[in-house]
Amino acid sequence: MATLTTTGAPAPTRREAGERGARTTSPRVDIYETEKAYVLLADMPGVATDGLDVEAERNTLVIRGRVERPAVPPDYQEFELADYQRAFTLTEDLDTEGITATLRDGVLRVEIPKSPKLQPKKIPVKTE
Amino acid sequence: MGLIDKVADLLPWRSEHREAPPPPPPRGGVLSLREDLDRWLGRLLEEPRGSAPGEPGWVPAANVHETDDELVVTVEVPGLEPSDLDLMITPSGLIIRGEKREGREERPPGVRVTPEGLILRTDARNRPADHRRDVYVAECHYGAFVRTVPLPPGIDLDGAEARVTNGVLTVRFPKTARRPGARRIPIHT
Repeated sequence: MATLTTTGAPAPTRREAGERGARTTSPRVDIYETEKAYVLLADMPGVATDGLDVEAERNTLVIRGRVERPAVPPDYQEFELADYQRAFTLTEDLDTEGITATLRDGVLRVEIPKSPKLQPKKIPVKTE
Repeated sequence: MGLIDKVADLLPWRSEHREAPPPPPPRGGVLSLREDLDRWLGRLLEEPRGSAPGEPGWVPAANVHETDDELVVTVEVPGLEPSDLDLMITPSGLIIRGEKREGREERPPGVRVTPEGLILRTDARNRPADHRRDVYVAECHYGAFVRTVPLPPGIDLDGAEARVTNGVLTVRFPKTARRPGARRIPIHT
């Protein structure tokens, strides 16, 4: 059965990452399965399309996002403007060639199609 | 008790402090108005949120930058568009209300074959194409939130400007030339 799993510890919040002084932070993600694909949603506020990097190599999917840091640190700070990075493991029955990624309003959506043999077949209904 | 303290007491993760407040004595004027606002905010915060089970309600993180000319409030609101946000300036500060919705698309009705057999999808018309059949990881926050950011004196509230870019809300307040009502008190010898 096809799976898409996260590697490493669950994502720390940006606040936790900031307190640790981390260079990169792990974005919060949702992963779910639809009929034809696995869908990964990642909250990456502050990332523009040209600062985004999605790479699928063999069985690893890596998402990276660059954010613009302000010249001076905030006077009051709850979130750290650190870059995002997180890796995921893909199994072989996923179609890495067909991966699509879209970024909208700071949310990355990666769709990884299941290989055709795993997908349910659809029969169109005709009227007589 | 100030509005901010009251709101903080009502936050879900401080529920150990939560007690039913005694009904306020009838009063008129500004005090009554403030109590109304407190109650209204309290109700908003007590309503169930759309966040993951077992997690406290979603309160997006905010940063505040101060420069010589302006005060800049930035809030992380991934997935939100201007129409999902409502900003209000009140005596207690900037109140940001918003809601993050899960994506929905419609799919046409039909019949499909799955390993389990033939399934006639009579409910297909109302089911989103993005229907989450199996959810493996759910870390993102969804649902409504209210966030209050107290504002210092000396900023031009009417000159506020807000925009949302790449899931970050930025509200800029120009600073006024000097703090309103500030006056030096001479010390007599």
